[in-house]
Amino acid sequence: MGKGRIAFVTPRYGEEVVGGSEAVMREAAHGLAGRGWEVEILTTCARDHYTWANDYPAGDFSAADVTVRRFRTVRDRPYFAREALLRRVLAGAPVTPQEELIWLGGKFRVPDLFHHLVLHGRSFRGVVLSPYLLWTTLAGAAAVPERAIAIPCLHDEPYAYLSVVRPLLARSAQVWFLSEPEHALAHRLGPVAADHEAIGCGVAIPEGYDPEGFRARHGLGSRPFVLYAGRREGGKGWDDLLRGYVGAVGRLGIDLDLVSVGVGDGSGPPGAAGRVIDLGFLPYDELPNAFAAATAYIQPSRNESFSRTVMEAWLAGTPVIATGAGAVVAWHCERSGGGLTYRDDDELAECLALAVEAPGALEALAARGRSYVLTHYTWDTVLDRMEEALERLP
Amino acid sequence: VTAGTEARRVVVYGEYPPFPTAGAAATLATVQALLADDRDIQVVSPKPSAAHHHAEIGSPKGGARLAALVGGAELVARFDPGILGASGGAGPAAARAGVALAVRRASACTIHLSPLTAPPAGKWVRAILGGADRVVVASEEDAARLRAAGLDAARLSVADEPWWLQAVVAALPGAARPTEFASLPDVSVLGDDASREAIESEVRRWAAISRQRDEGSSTSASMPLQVLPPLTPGPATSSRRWVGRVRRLVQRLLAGQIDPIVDQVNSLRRATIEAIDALPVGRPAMGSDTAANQTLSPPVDTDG
Repeated sequence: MGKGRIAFVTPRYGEEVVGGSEAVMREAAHGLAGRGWEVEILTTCARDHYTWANDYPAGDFSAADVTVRRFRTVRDRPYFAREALLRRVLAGAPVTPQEELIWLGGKFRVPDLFHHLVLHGRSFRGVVLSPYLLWTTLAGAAAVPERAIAIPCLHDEPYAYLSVVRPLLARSAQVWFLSEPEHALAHRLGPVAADHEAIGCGVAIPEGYDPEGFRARHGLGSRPFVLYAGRREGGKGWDDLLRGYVGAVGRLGIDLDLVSVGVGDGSGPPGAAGRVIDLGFLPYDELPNAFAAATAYIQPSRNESFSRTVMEAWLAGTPVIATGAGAVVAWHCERSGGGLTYRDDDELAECLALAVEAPGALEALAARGRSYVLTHYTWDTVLDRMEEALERLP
Repeated sequence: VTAGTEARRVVVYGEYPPFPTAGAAATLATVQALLADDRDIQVVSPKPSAAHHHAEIGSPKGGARLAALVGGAELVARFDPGILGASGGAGPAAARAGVALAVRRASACTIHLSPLTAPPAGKWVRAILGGADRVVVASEEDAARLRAAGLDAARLSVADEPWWLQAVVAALPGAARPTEFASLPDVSVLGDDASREAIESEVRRWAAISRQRDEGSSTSASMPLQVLPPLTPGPATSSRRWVGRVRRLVQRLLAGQIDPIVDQVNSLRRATIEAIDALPVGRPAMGSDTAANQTLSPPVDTDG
């Protein structure tokens, strides 16, 4: 006899799906299944988060110890109206709640998933939904608010201030935040459900690291490099990092390459040919080796609700250098005493110089970071907190 | 579709989640009840929503679409009572005719109306509501107005609950904010055991010095150019096949005029970067007396 039934509603699911929220949902789902919960993953047939095309077949299948149910996405026209609404949202222009929802539904909708929740949602102890700005989450929570557990993964960005987000935060049965800054942001946005907490996010601890093998497999030789892992796109600070890196190398002559992994265009500007190295998408079990091989890990994104890559770098004993504009990562660095933050390109340049010229100082910081992760963010610790929260549900 | 399955099918029309309106909540409650009764439901909402279909019945196209979707199924609808008003030209009249057709095509029909806001026109009351088996109104006053407009009293009833009123969500108590960050300690010596704060303080001090030294330096002038991506023609693709074809055709037709301009702009950009990078630079590496490597090309890898 299991502990109960729980559903995870995630916009995408699959080994090749890249995304922090999707990874949290996948690992939490399998972690709770391993602890005796009967887990269903309700997701779409989409793999690409730009097109939301139905790349996977609809239907049910078993993945290890969970049941996965895929539902087809529906996309509407006219597309241009949605683009016009997006421009207004980003410009901070007035947008009515109805327009917000039309914009949101214009990306994709999944009516069959919604009605699956309407029909079966109450058979679950909890229905976990993430992230906040996707139709699956906002509509799914509306289908079963009394069972909904939102993991919003909020960022301080224009979308977070849309009125359609407020019911998710206020009317869900529980809200699980990944960090205290995200928790504080939610209170700035409006009412939050009475039962909420900063539950955190688990990080898998690799059995070992192979930095030399990683260098050999990817032709990196012995040159030192800083690493960025994530989507190479403007919203994640990639363009800022390129600008800051090129400036640092050009002005200070810093002997560090910039290696990046993930999806998106990882090429550097022409002036940095040979110094900005794109390794593309790496297999899941190769990522820890990338962290271990790096001189330092760079987190240029201000839009983070947790930042698993920072934790993975610390676990690998690699120093972290992060933009101070991101409240969450700055909070981790401050709380752990394990990472450096920069406020502009000049400070980034000096941090990179420090990584080359005083590596001992940064290694000591990385050790504090590793201790911080092991204390707060192992999956065992986080799953304990999740189960305690689930026990509070009626 | 057999007659049996059609009899089990119900088309539900109304506002629907995730729109957070009272009407949407009421429609969802109807859907939940029908699903619990093992009915085969199809939800139609005015705007794209979690419903299976959408049809704006204020337009002739929407009215016709609803009629087509209903077929011989049962219909449960929440209509805006504005549809019963006398105003409007040919367009609204055609839309109302479509809605009336939807009601009459249904094997059974229940219509819920929110409070009437204008006098109903007898013509539309009879055309739209006359085909319904049951009309549920907001009050006895509304029932009287519809009876006066010609609707059969036996079909009328008054709603038990004011479903059209938005539920009030009380503000919930906030949680404690995170504690304020500690101020940075005044540490001037940097060693392997230095605190994060001490290191950051040094980084900021160095950056400030760097900023002062770089003021007026010509070496930073090429950075915006290096970050600027080369000019390329716009993508000749589209999710719509015919748009992609048109774009590719236009690009091919204009290639003779556009490509030389793109090449010239990119040549100019490269020449400018090279000219700026060739200028002398005076910033030495931190803590070093040697001149900094001024190029971005990688040093020789001694591992070969």
